[in-house]
Amino acid sequence: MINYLLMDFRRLFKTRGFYLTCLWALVLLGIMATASWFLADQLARNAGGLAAFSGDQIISEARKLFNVSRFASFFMSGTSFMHLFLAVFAAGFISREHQSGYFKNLLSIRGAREKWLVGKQLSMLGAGVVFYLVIILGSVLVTLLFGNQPVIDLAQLGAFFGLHLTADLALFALLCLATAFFQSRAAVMVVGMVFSFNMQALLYLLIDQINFLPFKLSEYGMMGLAGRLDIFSFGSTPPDMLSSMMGGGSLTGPATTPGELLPVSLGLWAVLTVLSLLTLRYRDYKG
Amino acid sequence: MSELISTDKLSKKYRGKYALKDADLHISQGDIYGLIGRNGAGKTTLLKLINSQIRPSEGRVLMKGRPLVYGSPGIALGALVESPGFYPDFSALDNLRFKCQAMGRDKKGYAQSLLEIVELADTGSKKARQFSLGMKQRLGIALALVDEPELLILDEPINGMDPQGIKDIRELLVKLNRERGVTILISSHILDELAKFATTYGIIKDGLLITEFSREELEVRNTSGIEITAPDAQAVAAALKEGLHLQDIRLSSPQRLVIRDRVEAPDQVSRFLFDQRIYVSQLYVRQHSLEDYFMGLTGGNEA
Repeated sequence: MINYLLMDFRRLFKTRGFYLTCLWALVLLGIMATASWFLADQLARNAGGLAAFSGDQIISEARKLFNVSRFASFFMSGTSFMHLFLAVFAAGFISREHQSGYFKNLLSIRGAREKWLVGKQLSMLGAGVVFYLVIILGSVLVTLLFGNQPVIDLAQLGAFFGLHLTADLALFALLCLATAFFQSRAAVMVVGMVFSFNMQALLYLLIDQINFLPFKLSEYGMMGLAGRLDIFSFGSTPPDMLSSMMGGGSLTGPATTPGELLPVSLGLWAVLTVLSLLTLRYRDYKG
Repeated sequence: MSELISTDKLSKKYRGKYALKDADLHISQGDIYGLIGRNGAGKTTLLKLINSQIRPSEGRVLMKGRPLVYGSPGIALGALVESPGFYPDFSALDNLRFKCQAMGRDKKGYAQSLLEIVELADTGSKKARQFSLGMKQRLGIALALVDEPELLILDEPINGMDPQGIKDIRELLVKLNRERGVTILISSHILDELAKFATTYGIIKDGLLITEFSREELEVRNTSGIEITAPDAQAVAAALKEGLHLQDIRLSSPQRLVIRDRVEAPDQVSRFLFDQRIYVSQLYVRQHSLEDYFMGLTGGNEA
């Protein structure tokens, strides 16, 4: 298993797309930071906490509100492009072996199918960790550019991104299932994009509207829950004025608690992993 | 020699239709087993079943007498089934290193030595997607060799190769077989090429493995014949039976007959006919090829 995992990590760090994904994330982060620079005064006015200031002072004071946690949270909130980037990269990486036919070279390894599943999930988890570290690093940089002290609350950031990673883990399991079932890169890409961008939420809303289920499905939409995580509910850094203005961590609804997201993410991961295993074992490999 | 791979009533159905039915294959250790059949006959299906790419619908594969547990081959096995599988955005060396790593054979220089075996050592950082068809096939063979396999499964490995490439691969396979004792299961449409080095053959038609035979058996079964064309072939046959006591004479038409025995002595036959003043318009020794034999068995034109 270790050898298989090492192969996956070796390929991961030799894949140009991985670095491009991180680079794109930084570019987006830069764009959002620039927008934040110009929107700072508007947000501060709305927050109503800077009444004592006026003119340039307001803008200056508002920009001081942007710290590392605020930036990191900003980029992960709502319908996150960050999950989309990671999902698109993961879809390509996970499906590559099946699509290219390389997988058949590995079938002589005892338990190759199970090792493939574990290897892909763990290597993508590793990719996720690197990806979020890049986002934190980017947040530190833009905080510095804003002229603020880059205070890093490790417990807060760790808990926040750790929870996002559980959502990603379930997403990776879904991509593994899609790969095992469709064995087509394009199909896995579509699945990755639809689910990471939370497009399935529209379907959930429709199902909720017709009262088909005894519970509200949209309340369990994993990526929706992840997008509403409030970074200031973890760690020691208190919520800032912007957070109170937004009523939690997101503009899209009430903040999600870890107790809401974790069971959904881990439950989906477990179900999807078992389904992937069964599909890998009982579906013929077409390559 | 002991049996390395065998199959027991192995079958595979796709949407209710058999692609392979009740195949009983027997490959001994050290064999070069040539699997012959038309397009769609079931060759690739059989190879995929042995390589655990697909699950059998019925029957089983036995490796060294033990049933194959799907997904856990009991022997070191390398395969190149259908097209070679590689990461197109990586070099040949990277592709090999990935598999070496997964197999726990990541010794320094090992991947490079495999590239040298298949003569791809000078491809450097060139991406595999830029390789010619022949180079891709060679890379596929190198990937199949990573685990120092006891059994090498090759599906049409010489497709798209130039004559020199075909010769090189043939020599490589013979070398692997003789020096390292690698058993080879190979399918090919190029029957004349296969006939040059295969030691055992299996013919598959419409999903049925219709016969298996060794090279020696082929020579016996597929004996060449003395073919004679004459105005009255039946009279010639009667004279030969009476005068030379020949038994195996077949009339292929009223003007043509084939003598299966006494092939080694066509001069005796011609002298007899001359002495008996029997007129024939043609007399020659016809050498039958593996292709002729295959055509005779399957009744087709396309291998």
